[in-house]
Amino acid sequence: MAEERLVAQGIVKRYGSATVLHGVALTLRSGEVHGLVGHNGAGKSTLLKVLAGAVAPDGGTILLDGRPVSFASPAAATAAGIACVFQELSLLENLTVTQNLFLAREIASAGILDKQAMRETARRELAANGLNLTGDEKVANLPVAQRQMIEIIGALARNARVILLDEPTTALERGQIDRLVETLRRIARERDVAIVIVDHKLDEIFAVCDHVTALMDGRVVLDAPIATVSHEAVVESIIGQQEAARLQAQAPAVHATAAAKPSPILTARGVGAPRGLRDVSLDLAPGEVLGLYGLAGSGRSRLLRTLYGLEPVGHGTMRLRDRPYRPQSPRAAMREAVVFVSEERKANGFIPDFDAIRNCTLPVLRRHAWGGVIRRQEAEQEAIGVLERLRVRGDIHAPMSRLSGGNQQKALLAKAVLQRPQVLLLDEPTKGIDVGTKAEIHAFIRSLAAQSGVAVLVVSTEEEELLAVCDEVIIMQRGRCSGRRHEAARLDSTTLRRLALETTPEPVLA
Amino acid sequence: MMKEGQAVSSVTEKPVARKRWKLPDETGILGMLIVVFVIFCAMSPNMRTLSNGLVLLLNGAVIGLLALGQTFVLLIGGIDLSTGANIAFMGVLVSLLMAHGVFWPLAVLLTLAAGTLMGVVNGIIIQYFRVPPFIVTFSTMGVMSSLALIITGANSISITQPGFAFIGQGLVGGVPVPVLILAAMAILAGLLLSKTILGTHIYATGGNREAARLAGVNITTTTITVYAVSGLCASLGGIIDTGRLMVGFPTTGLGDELFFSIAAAVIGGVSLFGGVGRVQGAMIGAVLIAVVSDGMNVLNVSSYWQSLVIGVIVLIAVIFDTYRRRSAGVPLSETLRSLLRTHGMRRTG
Ligand SMILES: Nc1ncnc2c1ncn2[C@@H]1O[C@H](COP(=O)(O)OP(=O)(O)OP(=O)(O)O)[C@@H](O)[C@H]1O
Ligand SMILES: [Mg+2]
Repeated sequence: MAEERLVAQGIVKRYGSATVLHGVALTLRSGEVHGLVGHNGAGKSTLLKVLAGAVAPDGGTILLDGRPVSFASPAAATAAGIACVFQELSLLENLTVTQNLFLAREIASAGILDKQAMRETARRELAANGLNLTGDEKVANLPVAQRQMIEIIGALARNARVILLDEPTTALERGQIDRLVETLRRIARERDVAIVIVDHKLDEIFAVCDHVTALMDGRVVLDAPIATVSHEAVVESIIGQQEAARLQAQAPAVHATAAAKPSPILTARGVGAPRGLRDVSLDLAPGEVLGLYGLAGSGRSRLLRTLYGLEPVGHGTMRLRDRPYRPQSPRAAMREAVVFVSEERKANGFIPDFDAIRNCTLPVLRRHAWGGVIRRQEAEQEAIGVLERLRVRGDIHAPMSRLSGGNQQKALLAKAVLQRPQVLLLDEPTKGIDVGTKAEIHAFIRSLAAQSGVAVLVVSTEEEELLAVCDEVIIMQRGRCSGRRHEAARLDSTTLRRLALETTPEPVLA
Repeated sequence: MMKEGQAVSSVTEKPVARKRWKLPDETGILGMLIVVFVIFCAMSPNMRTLSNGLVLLLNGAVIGLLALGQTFVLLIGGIDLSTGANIAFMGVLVSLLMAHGVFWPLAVLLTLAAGTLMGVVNGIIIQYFRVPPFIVTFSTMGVMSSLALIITGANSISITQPGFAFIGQGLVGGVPVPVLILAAMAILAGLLLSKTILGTHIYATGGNREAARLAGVNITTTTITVYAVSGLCASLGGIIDTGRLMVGFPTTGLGDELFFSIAAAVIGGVSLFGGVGRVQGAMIGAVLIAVVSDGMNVLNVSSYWQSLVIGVIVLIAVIFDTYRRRSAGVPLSETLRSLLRTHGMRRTG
């Protein structure tokens, strides 16, 4: 029997003069998974932060098992049995996996840690969730997908009564997501907990949730059992009726024909790097959008990082515009008009206290300066144009750290585009971006290639995204890539996944 | 078995988590200590005597204690500039208490409590008023050093309870008491950091304050604790210095102590950015500084050179620390190679 575990009513949150939550109500039942959706900046993360004690609300009441509660700190919420995975990765990089898993709930007697017990429990939990780690690794050395899994494992293992997950799957791949969906459903049922999941990928919402709530500009616009709503209804409640209609009417992307393609601007032959890249060959031509697909751990991100000079090249040759290319640093890559958007927002290095506009203009100030004096107006106009085109919602004149996660991502894309790249390397470009804007961004990427002749290389764990935005896709397996192309128009997600799993070596590019 | 491993590795990034025996981070600095010590020994036979070894440690004990306290503070990403002044004030305090007839063990306990309280005050101002630790402890440094002078009228206070000399001058089994105190404190501190919840939370706070808070770590507790530990260590330093001289000087501890203690921690691998470092390292750093000071004494090098040499050692240590952070997880040899490469000093052949 699903009893009401947590009832929030009339939650109000203001930041300065802006009201972010206008009296939001949310009812979480034990044994249920509750989906929370809404456009970027709708207030989903803010709502979860209020429930998790990380942010103090300006109004409203929260009842936990019928008793009113108010949390002064995340520690207080944790003590009351609420566990939360926040949107931004928040593991401590200087600690080990085990230390992170048990942070603030260490196994100890009289304050003395029982390291053996923690190590064993951690190893068991990690293995049960398909992570081949000992637990003694420093988190700083782990890839994003593993970090995200570790955070989720940490929250699930807390024996909480309410579990809040803010976009937990952005870095995960299909297999991991399927397993997570399974786990969440099981945990909700077996442990009788209430789970909230924020997610922009609606198929995941439909796969895992019992109930869905949609927020729009800080107000609840949909609150219903999942069985009673259609996919379209949810989309509509996220982006509004008109937008939804427009989205439907939008013609599918026209893929460039393979015939008249200019000669490649960037080529790699037999490239290997010390950590994880073995043998990569690829060609990237101006005006094309090339997808790079592979399982987690196949070295996709590492390849992009290597092309951008973030990691050293071991062997093999790379050429850019028919000249040898071996960037020693991102600066060197940028000088060659190679630009990269990383899957880790924090690693992209925006300056949190600068507003979005200033962050975007920072790398291109030289273009707008004369003798070292900046023509600020001109620089800002250009930045605002792109920010609007990418539909950044929120105050672009306020410190960028205050934008919602998805809007920060859009601003980072804008920053990359403003650098007028000739080679654009995108790692999970629409991570955390809502359904309405996603199509917009895909169209934008395609137009960059088609109209400005940019060579774009896209990595994504979402097969549908690659098929929507790319002309062709190349596959990476265990640090190897033959460079053989598969036409996106003739692929579907299942085929793509099969290709990535196949172990037969493909013929290598000459 | 094999099959399982493969299935798993397809969803994880690293194929197999190799178990590899790693050198502790402090290996480099320990090597440096040994080299420096051997060089001094080769240059002067006096350096090699056991008695000199004990003098060296005795002279280094107070700096070691301060470094210990500073390690805690640095670990949460803070800094405590007030420790030197704390020595002056606490030395005066313990002397005054005894001069007013308080039996010396009680005077010592009261002074330790006062030092801890001073640290708590630092911690509270930093945590609740959000003033940067640099500013807060800089201010308390001024306050404490002035108070020491004001209370005493800049006069020294001689100590009349002979029992008190045991703390500064006593020997147990031939080892000076201050050295024993330092050893005991270091072991306790090391255990606290590595074996307790509080220790883990201190590292967490220094690693990323906001992330630690969100995870449910009580950062108020960790912040106040580390400054309290630093205050406690400083008052212990003040008591030892006073016990060695059997006079309370209002200006003890205002020399190189603060600089040398921060240097010791940093040389030992305690990061100024927080979250990284161990007591072992800081203690090796303190011994290294003691060896350099003592060695230069023995060799009759002007003491004017001391700060210069230690300054250079700190610089090398910090450059190294920065490189290590940038290339986290990369083995030492690799770090060195990249250091050389970026500075165009790559060996040919
Ligand atoms: N610290 C802050 N100061 C001012 N405004 C803020 C702050 N944090 C969030 N906001 C604003 O509150 C609104 C809601 O943000 P929130 O992060 O809750 O959105 P979201 O629904 O989680 O979006 P996303 O899908 O992009 O993660 C946004 O307009 C954001 O700019
Ligand atoms: Mg959010």
